[in-house]
Amino acid sequence: MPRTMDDDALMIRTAEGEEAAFRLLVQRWERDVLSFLIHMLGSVEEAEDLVQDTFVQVFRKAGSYQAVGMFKSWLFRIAGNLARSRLRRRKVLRWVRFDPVVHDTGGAGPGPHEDLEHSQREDAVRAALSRLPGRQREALALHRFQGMRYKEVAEAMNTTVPGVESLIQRAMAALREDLGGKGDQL
Amino acid sequence: MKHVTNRIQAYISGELDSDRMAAFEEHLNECPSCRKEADRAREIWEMLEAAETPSPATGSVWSAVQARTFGRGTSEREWFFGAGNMTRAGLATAAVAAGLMLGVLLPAGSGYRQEADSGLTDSSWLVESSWLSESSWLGGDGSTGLDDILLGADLLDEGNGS
Ligand SMILES: [Zn+2]
Repeated sequence: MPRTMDDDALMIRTAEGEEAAFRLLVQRWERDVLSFLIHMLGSVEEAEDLVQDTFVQVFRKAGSYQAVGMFKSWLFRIAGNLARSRLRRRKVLRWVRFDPVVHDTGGAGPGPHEDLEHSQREDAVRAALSRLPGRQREALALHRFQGMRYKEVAEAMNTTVPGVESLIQRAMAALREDLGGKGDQL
Repeated sequence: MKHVTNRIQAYISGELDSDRMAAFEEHLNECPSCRKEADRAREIWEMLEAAETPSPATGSVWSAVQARTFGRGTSEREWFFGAGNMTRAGLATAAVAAGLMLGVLLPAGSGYRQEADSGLTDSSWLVESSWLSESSWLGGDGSTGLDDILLGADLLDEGNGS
């Protein structure tokens, strides 16, 4: 199978039950989906759990996928729905402190000295992101970290382009308030 | 002079068409106030880079997904309604337990609570689930319309048997 095959072509083959095509899709997108889910849930373990669920859903829904070049939006809509569903089930009390050990999961990294400053900044930004209302965080994660245009984000979040713009503007205003005064410390 | 603060984010996001971008930049050249706003917005935008998640380790995703789709032995149904729910129930229990522990360690009023916009109470530390009301989170009508066409109506109910 040519490695350059685009997502739509792979989805068509996946719908026909071609395992190799589905495998390519999973391998192509797993990192992005995991990264997005970590931003949404603040927990690597839960995110890894939902990455699997996301791709199982992709497989189950492959037959209804419309190959119009919007695979990424479709994929992140599935991931976003699962993340929302998971967040809704955090009943009673919720612990969404963004895991400060996220950046350590790779094992060997930079030594503690050169890594400290970066890690403090990272924790501060993650914590600020985690304080955003869910939809603002979702729009920002898709746009800023997944590089999706407003139109693609709108498609993924079932809203409009002005709606996305508003979410991102409000998210940025909140982050500015949260992080703005700490510029010198970061 | 009409200020352009409402277009700063679209500019940073690369969402202005060429005409609007030219007008925006022209204004920025003449207006120190908007320029300062744009600089601060850009600074926050770049600060977000610190929250980029590192390239996670990969390799295990496919084998797990394969087992639940093309795998023999464990059918997907068994996965969803069998072992899968055990895992999820365990996670939920652990999450609640952690939350309760923190409730003891970090009582409300300890300085960690913050007001988010939309009247929603949000905080990264200790949060009642009420902030996540359906209407605010799902944009009013929940997951209807295109969601149902593209994903099927059962998606949001997935795994809700707990
Ligand atoms: Zn101005």
